[in-house]
Amino acid sequence: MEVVRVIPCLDVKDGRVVKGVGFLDLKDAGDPVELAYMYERQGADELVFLDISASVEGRSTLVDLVRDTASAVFIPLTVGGGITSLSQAATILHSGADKVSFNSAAVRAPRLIDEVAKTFGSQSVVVAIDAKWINNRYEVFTHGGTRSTGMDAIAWAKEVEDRGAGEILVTSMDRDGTKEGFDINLVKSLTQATSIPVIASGGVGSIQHFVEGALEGNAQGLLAASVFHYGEISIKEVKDALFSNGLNVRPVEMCS
Amino acid sequence: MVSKQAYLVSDPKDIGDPAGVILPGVGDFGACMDALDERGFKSVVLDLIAAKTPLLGVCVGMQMLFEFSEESGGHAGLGLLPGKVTKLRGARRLPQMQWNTLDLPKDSGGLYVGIAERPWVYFVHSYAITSSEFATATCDYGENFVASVQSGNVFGTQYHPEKSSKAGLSIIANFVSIAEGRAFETDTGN
Repeated sequence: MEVVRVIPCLDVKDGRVVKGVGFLDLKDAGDPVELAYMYERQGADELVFLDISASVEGRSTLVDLVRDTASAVFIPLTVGGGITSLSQAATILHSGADKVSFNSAAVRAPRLIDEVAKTFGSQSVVVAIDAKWINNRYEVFTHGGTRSTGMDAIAWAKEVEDRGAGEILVTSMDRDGTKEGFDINLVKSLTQATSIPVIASGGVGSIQHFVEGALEGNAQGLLAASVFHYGEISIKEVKDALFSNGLNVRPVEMCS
Repeated sequence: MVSKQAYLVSDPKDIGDPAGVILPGVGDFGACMDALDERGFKSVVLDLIAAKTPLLGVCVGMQMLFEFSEESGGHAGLGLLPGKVTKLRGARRLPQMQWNTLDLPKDSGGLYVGIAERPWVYFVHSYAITSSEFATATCDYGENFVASVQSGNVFGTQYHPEKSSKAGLSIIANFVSIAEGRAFETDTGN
C-alpha cells in the first residue's frame, strides 16, 4: 500500500536548532538530538535537518550532530542546506544521514545529482525546489529564495528525476510562512510530471492543509516546521486526520 | 536499544571471528556486488555462511543473496538462494520510500520473535524478489513482494530495520540473539 509520511523539519545553525522551538517539556529546546528523539517518539516518519550555518566551524559541528542523531534516532534523516559537492555529500552520508538534499548547488551544477546518485544510489538524493508563481508559471529560486533562475519548476523537476534524484522536496515560496496551506496546484503539477516521491512544503497552518496536500496534491510526504515546533498541531492529530480521510499512515501508537 | 558491539569492516582481514555478520547494501545492485568482489569480501561471506555464521543481508544486501538482479542491465548475485530480483512493476511511484506493514505468518520465529502481528518498517527500494520459498514476510506496494527471507543461518530484510524505529530495533535484537546462539532474551528496553 501507499503510505503518506509526516515529516518535521528542523533548522540547524552551528549544531543547534534555531528559529524558536516552543516545547516546554524539553531540557534544552535547542538540542537537535533531543528534539529529533522526541519527534520520533511522537510519530514522525522521517526528519529533515536544514543546516543554515554560514561558517566552516558550523559545518564540522553538523557532522557531529548527524552522527549523534543517527546513533540515537532510528528513523530516516535527510540533511540539506549548503551541500555543494560530492565529497560534502559523502561526509554527511557517512556520518549517518540517509539522504542529502541539494538546492542551489544542483541548479548551478546539475551533474552533482548524477554523481551522488551514481555513487550512493538515487535513494540518497533529494532535490529541493523553491518555486514561485511568476508570469503564469512556477519559477525556480535559489539561495534561500533570493535569486531567480528563469527556470521552469516543472521542467526542472523532470530533469532532476532523469538525472537520478530519488525524491523531490518542493517548497512554495508564495505560501511559505503564510499558514494558508500548501500550494496544491504546484504540488499536483509536480506529482503529475514525475514518478518519484514528492514531499510538499511551505504554508501549512491547519490539520486540513496536511490532508489537502496528500489528497489533492497527491504528495507522498508532508513537511512542516513551525506548527510542530510550537506545538500548535501534533503529529498524531495530522495522522488521525489523514487516516479518517482514507489515507494510509503509520499509526503513532507504534512509535512511543 | 541493542547494546552489542558492532564493527564496520572494510578490509576482509579485519573481520576476525564474528558471532554474526550484517551485509548492508545501498544503491545499485551491480555496484554493490562489484564492491564486494573487489574488496575480497565475496569469498569471505561465502566462507562465513559455509561455517554457519548467522548473516543478515539488508536491502540490496538481501538482494545479493539471490542468483540474479535485472537492475542496470543485469548482474549475478551470490546465488545462495534461488530467485531473480526484478523491478517493482505494479508500483505507481518508485522508489518505494516509505513505511509499510509486513505480512507475517502466525507464530513467526527467527527475526520476528515477540514482534507485533503487522509491524511497520521502513523501505527504500525499486527492485525486489517477488516470491521465494524462503520468504518469512511479504509486503504490498502495488504488487506483492518478499520483505524478508531465512534459510538456515542466512537472513535477509528488504526493509531497513536500522531505520524502523522500535520494531526495527527488536528485529535487530532478535538477530543478535540468534548470532549469540541463545533464546530471545536480549535487552530491547526503550
